[in-house]
Amino acid sequence: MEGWIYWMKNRLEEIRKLKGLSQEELADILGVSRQTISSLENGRYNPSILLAFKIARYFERSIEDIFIYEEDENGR
Amino acid sequence: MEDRLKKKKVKHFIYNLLGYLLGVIIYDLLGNENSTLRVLSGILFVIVVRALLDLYEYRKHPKMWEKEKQLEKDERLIIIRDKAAYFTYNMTLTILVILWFVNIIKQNDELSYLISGLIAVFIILMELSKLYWSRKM
Repeated sequence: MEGWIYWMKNRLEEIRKLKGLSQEELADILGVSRQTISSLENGRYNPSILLAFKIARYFERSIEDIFIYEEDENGR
Repeated sequence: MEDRLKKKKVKHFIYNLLGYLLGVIIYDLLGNENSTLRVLSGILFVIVVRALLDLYEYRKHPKMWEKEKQLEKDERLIIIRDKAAYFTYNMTLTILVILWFVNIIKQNDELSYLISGLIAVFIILMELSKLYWSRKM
C-alpha cells in the first residue's frame, strides 16, 4: 500500500451539537481535555481506537457513523 | 475548569519561587553561610509550601483536583508529552555533542571525557527504555 494516502474525517461536532453538548461537557463525560475534543473536531488529531469506541458508545452510534476513513492512491 | 488549571500552574510557579526565597532568607537570617545548605533550605521550603498549597486546593476545589488527575491520562496530552520529551532528548544530545567538540578543540580532556560519558549514558538509557517498552507493548 506504498504511495497511498490515508486520512480520517469525522462528524463529531455535528453529532455533539445535535445532543446539545458543549466541548467542555463532552470532554468531562469522556474523561479527556476540551482541547482534545477541539482537535478531534478540527481533524488535527485522530483518536485511539479506545477513545473512538468510547465516543461511539456514548452517542449510541457505530464508529463508522462518526469517523469516516478515506484512502487514495498517490494522493489523487 | 481547564483555564482555572492553567491559572493554577502560574500560581504554583509563583508560590514555589516565594517558598524558595523564604527558605533562603530564613537560612540567612539564622546567620548561616554554607551555600549548599542555603539552596537545600530553599528547596525544603518549596516542598513545604507546595504540600500546603496542594492540601488547601484539594480541600477547597476537589473537582479541580479530579480534573487534573483526569487530564494526566488524556491520550492527546500523553502523545504531546512524549513528542516534547523526544525533542528535548534530541536537543540535549545535540548540545552535548557540540560541547564535546568545543572541549576537544580547546583540549579540555577531563571535561570532554565527562561529556562523552554523559552522551553514552543518555544513548544507553534511551535504548534500554525503548527495549523495555517494546517488550511491554
